[in-house]
Amino acid sequence: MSEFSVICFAESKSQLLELASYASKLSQGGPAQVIAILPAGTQAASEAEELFSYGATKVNVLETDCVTKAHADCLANHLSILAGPSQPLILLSSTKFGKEVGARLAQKLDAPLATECRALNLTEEGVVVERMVFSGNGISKERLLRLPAVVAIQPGAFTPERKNAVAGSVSSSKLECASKLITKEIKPKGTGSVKLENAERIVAIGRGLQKKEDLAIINELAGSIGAAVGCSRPVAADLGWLPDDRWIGLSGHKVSPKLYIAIGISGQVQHIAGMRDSKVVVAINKDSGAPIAQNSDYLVVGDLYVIVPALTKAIRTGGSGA
Amino acid sequence: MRDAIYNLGLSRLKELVSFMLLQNCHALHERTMREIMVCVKQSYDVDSLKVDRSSGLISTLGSPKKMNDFDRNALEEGIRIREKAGGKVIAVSVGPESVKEVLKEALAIGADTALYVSGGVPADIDSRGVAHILSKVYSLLADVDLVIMGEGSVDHYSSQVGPRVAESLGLPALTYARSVEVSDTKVTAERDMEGGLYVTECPLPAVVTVVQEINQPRLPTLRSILGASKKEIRQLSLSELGIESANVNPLVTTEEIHSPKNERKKLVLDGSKPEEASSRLVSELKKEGVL
Repeated sequence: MSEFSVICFAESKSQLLELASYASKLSQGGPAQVIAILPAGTQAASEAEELFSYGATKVNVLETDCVTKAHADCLANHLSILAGPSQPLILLSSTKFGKEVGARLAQKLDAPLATECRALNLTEEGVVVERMVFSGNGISKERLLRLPAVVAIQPGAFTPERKNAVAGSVSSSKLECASKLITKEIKPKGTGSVKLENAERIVAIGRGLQKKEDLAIINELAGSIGAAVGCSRPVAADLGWLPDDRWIGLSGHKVSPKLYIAIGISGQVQHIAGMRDSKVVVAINKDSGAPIAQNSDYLVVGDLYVIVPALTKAIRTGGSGA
Repeated sequence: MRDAIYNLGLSRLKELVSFMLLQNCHALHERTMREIMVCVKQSYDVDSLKVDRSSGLISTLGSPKKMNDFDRNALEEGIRIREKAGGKVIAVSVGPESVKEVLKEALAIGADTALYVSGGVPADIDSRGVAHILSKVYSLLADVDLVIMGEGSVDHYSSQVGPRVAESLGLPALTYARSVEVSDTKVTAERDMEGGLYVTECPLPAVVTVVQEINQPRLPTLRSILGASKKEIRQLSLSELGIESANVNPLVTTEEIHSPKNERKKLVLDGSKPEEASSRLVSELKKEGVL
């Protein structure tokens, strides 16, 4: 029987580290061979080294336009050739692009695919995953009945672990884009400030805010604790008070800061799905019966226009009280 | 004088040319009539699921179902394209007999005809199986220019079916579209990706999956509901489509679904004394090591 192999691909190095690290823990009659496909860039050589110390046994540096242009058809075709007849497990990052590549790849290989996964195990009866379903209301345990299989793991669901680096082999390949898509332009979406995924603290605002100008008091609170500002769907999608890259929720960003302060956010399941992994959650809401109450560690019941400035002041004075 | 005659001649010529252009446009219009296949899923109403308190398991038995929210946007976009270019919107669904309900709604909203594949469809069908059936329906309809569906479904949110259908038919796909523009031979979309809005085009026929921000779906009116009762809903079985069970039997099975763990402290601070509540909160957060 041939060696069990896991092929990992992600658009960014940090996501690829998560996948390689996860893959290196899987074994089936022996440790898995972990092949990481790394999009080429100026840092590729040092990134390859880093991948080896997180569990990769082979790194393939792939030079292609398909990733930056999000052309899934071409990339999926390339991955299917790499998969070959060895019936591997293929791990992808559950980003929009990752899910699309996964679906095309699985279709090509006539393979099962699970997206939005938070955990994965190899068992005798197949690959078992846990994935988020019902708009974040449920965790579904699902079994993929055969190999090859494709699994897309939510970014951030797993913390990569450094191990003793084992020297592995690095190869490189070039993929000319043969996609049927032509991408003419990539328009930036956000303000270019700190990415929410990387923020240690987040202050998020919801419908409780009455007008755009009132964001000033929110920004002040955020400034006092060095937090990034995020929002629920209506604030970005309906009202347009904050750019799209600030929107936290099921179809927006999924964040896991140390501290999450939800202000005037009722806590619909779609929003909770985006911030469930936060360490400590504070909510400020006038309605003690709002769903956010069940999803927060501390709920301050009151008018945000009174509480937020008071909290900012308390933080600035070190919490010694008025 | 010669100039005047020349001018007159020129303006005649202009008239003639514009008349010819008009004719040509008309012919073009005929050609741009679109056949649009909109896929609508009957999904669980995620807001009314029942959780067993002792086991934490979620049961879907007897849970109400409704049209997948994202597919409403897909249907709306299909109708808008038809309103501009002419053509036909065909709503397609797969599943038990009850999917007929979402198709009735799709017809009331504005689809022209509807088709569902029932009979022989496994109750636990997965995305691969659904994509296989939809691909067969596409081939049966023969003249489809665009397949539109939501980016995913509110219940399983797997986001597989669109790109799987595209792959199986060898079609390009514009996923996560936030706006769509269809011209004579191609479709252009603004794709809402994490890294920005990607302006991408591809030739027709194509698959498009849409995000909720693409439009505000219209509601059916009493008149459109009454009108819809005259529209055709066609039913096909797997055997009529020549589908073998190996291609629709699931490769992914669900073992159980439970509620996510909730270990929040749920402490309530009275905000009627804002200074007191704030300083207490600050000291708690310091203790937690997050401030």
